[in-house]
Amino acid sequence: MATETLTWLLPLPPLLAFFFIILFTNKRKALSHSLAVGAAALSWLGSMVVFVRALGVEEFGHEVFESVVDWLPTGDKFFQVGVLIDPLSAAALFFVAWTVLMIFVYSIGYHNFGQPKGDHDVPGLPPHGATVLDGKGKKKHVLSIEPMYSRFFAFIGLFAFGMYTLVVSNNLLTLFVGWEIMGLCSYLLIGFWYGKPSARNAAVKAFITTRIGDVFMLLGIAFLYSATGTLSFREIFTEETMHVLATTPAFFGLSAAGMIGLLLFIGTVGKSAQWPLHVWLPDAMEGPTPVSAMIHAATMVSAGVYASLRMFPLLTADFTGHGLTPAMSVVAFIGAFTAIFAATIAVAQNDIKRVLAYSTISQLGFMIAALGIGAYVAAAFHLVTHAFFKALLFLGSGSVIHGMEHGVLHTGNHRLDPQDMFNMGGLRRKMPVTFWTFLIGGFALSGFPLVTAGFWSKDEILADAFGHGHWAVFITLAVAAFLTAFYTMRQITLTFLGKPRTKEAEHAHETPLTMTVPLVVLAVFAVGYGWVGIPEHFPLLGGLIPNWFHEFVGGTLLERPEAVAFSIWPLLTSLGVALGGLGLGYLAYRNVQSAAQDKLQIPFLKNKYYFDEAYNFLFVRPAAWFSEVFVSKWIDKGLIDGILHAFGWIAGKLGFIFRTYFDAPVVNGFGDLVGEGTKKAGSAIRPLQAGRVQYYMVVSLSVALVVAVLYFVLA
Amino acid sequence: MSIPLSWFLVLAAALFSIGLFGVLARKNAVAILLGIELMLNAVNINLVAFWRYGNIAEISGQVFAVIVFAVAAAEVAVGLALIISVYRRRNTVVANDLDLMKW
Amino acid sequence: MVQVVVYIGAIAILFIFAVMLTRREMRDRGPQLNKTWWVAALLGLLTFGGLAFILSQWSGFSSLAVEIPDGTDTLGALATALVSPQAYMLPFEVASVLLLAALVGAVYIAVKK
Repeated sequence: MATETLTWLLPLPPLLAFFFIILFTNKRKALSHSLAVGAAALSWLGSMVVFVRALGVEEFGHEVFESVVDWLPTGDKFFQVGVLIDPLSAAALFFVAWTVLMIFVYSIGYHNFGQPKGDHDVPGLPPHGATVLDGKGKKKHVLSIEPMYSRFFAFIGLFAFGMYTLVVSNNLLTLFVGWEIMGLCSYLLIGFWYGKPSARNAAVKAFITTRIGDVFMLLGIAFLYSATGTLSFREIFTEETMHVLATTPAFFGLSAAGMIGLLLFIGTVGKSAQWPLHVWLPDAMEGPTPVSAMIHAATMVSAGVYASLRMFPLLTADFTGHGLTPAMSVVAFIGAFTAIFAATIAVAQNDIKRVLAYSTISQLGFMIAALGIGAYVAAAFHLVTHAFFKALLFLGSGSVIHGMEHGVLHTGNHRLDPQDMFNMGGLRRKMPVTFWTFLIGGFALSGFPLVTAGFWSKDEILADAFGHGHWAVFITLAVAAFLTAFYTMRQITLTFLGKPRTKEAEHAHETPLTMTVPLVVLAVFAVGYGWVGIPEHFPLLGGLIPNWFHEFVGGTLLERPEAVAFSIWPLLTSLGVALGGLGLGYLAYRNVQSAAQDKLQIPFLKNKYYFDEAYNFLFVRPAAWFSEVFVSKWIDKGLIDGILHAFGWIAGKLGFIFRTYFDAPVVNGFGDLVGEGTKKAGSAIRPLQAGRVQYYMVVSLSVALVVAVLYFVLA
Repeated sequence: MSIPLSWFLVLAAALFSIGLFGVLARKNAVAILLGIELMLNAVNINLVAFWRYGNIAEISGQVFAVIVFAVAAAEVAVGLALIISVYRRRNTVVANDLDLMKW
Repeated sequence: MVQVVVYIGAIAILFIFAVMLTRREMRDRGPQLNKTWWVAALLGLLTFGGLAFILSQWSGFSSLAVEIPDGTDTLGALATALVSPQAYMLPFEVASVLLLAALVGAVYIAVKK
């Protein structure tokens, strides 16, 4: 099959899985998950085929796989949409396919397929466990299957469809379509357990916050279309068009290209949870853990960075390699600030998933900062490696939570939070596979040298920042990297090392294969993927394996970016912060038994710098007042309903008048008159028929005589 | 002595009127039938008078009169039979009491 | 002559029978006339007056009887007329049928079941 045709077909299986599950197989759990996983596998297979074929093309970047169709008639031309596989989308396709498939498989085990139905389980709330009798007749509490099992798989199928659409599209419009579909699915999935008010609020918060970004993105798309007349990437990113855009002035002293780039970047700020639109991501932990993995590692936030990567030429339109353009400065600032901001919050979090959430925000800040300073390849590299190890970490945390829930069901203490790290401890012995894979993921996140992918990608960002003289960014990112390693080790120490701090942790046990196998697969990538991007001049190892990633992804841009010259300082810095942070984290937390002993539980950090409260006061409450009081009460109920009620009242009165003064007397009266009149006339005439013949004769003869007399008189 | 035709005609008219009075004013049904007979006789007088004072050769006047009183006899028979039958049922011959045909 | 015979012999006897059969007592009681006898009287008078008036307008009202020529057999002529087919035999026969019908009818009506 031609690659272009195959590319068109890539988003299709998950979409079909969504429809089939929703329409037909909702009640049959095994069939639903088979459909979903099968669809993910099909798309994975297609993606691998496309990827391998893309590898084999010479000068891939100039030569691409592209296929378009005419879609909207616009005057005498057509607006075309289509698919495009260039190096960036091929690399993205690779990690999307793998992570999506792993998450789908993981979800089977996460939602406890094969377990009995729960005692008190209700669709809309998380499952609470079932009571079974074991072999000896004793009652055992075990994990129960999720009541809304099929619905979950349908939604993540739709989610996968959105991501695939975004990755393979060749124009901004279908990219935006995939973007918005993922926004919808994030709402549906964060609010999956809709019985919980916190989940409902988190879903709305996620959707609204990303929507703010999306509005600006749409403005950017409109601006771009009006400036160039096209939305297709291959047509925009040509020399002539870029030159025109770069030299046309727009608002705030930016060129058109910069303005468009910034507007589109604001969409990324929303979707990838950068400051100031970061508030939705931690709350999004309300959703089931595979959702967190999907949204915050594999797909949605990656989509934000992917979109910015696509728009990189717009952001760097005037970039000559030395001074940052205004657009780039904004991007770099937001990225770097977010990186350190989120890292400081992460060190004070107790929930295992919250730490990972803030970690995601921070790492995305790294990528955005890399983009801001012009390190295209480094940003793309970190995107891919981050997808793998963050998905691994999230799935691992889900496995830990499952193990803790085993313990909670065993002891029956349902008030214990299975996600609080201070209730864990010593899980290394209880859940070995989870422990080792989580360790690999954590080390990759921290940038443990040489053997983890995170090291290579993070090091490249730092090297780029150092090499081009962006000191502020370099120092900020280095500090953020230190904090990253620190809180990661804190997390691992509290969760896995030491002794179990609670009875529930003692009774945890390893999760089934459907959950552990994806962890292992992702761990392989978390380790190995870094080796495809080893810089050429790296001591000892550089040059042994060619820097495939740089060559491959670098081909996406019009001018192939140069690899930064090697310098020992960023390498030493990243080694120092990584190992230092890891060591300090271990030393500080190996003896900590409870939250009271944790010196970093600073309220300002723990409460996320009170940003949520500030937004609530500034935006949420006024908006709620506006809609509830002004629009709903005054205008809708008061004015509009008032008008309708007035109409109703008038109609009622009119009806009454008609009835009383016209219908009853005239119409009814007439009818009654006819009837009564006939009766009265009949009663009046009836005595004539007396039945007495003589009387008849008298009457008739009298009448005849009168007539005769009249005749004779008048004639 | 020749009596003018007018005497016969007036007599017939008078008999007819008396018979009419009897039909309309008598209570007893038998009496009403008597009145009817009287009227028929008046008609007969008229017929014969016109024959005698008109064309004697035209015998149809007399024939008519004969037929008339044959019919009168028949009618009386039937009428009286009816009255007897009614009397048996309702035990009365007062005409005004026979009012079954009222509303 | 015939008329007298018919009337005395048949009709009068019939009337006497009827009267006797329809009396509860052999004596008359109460008024014989209706309450509205005066209307009937008025009608009778008016009828008489009207008839007399109309007849008096006729020219032949006061004509005198003509002499019957000798030898005219009026009775024979009547008899002949009654039975001759060119004259009034048919009405005569019909009248007898009528009498038969009346006879049957009267018997049927008045017979005691």
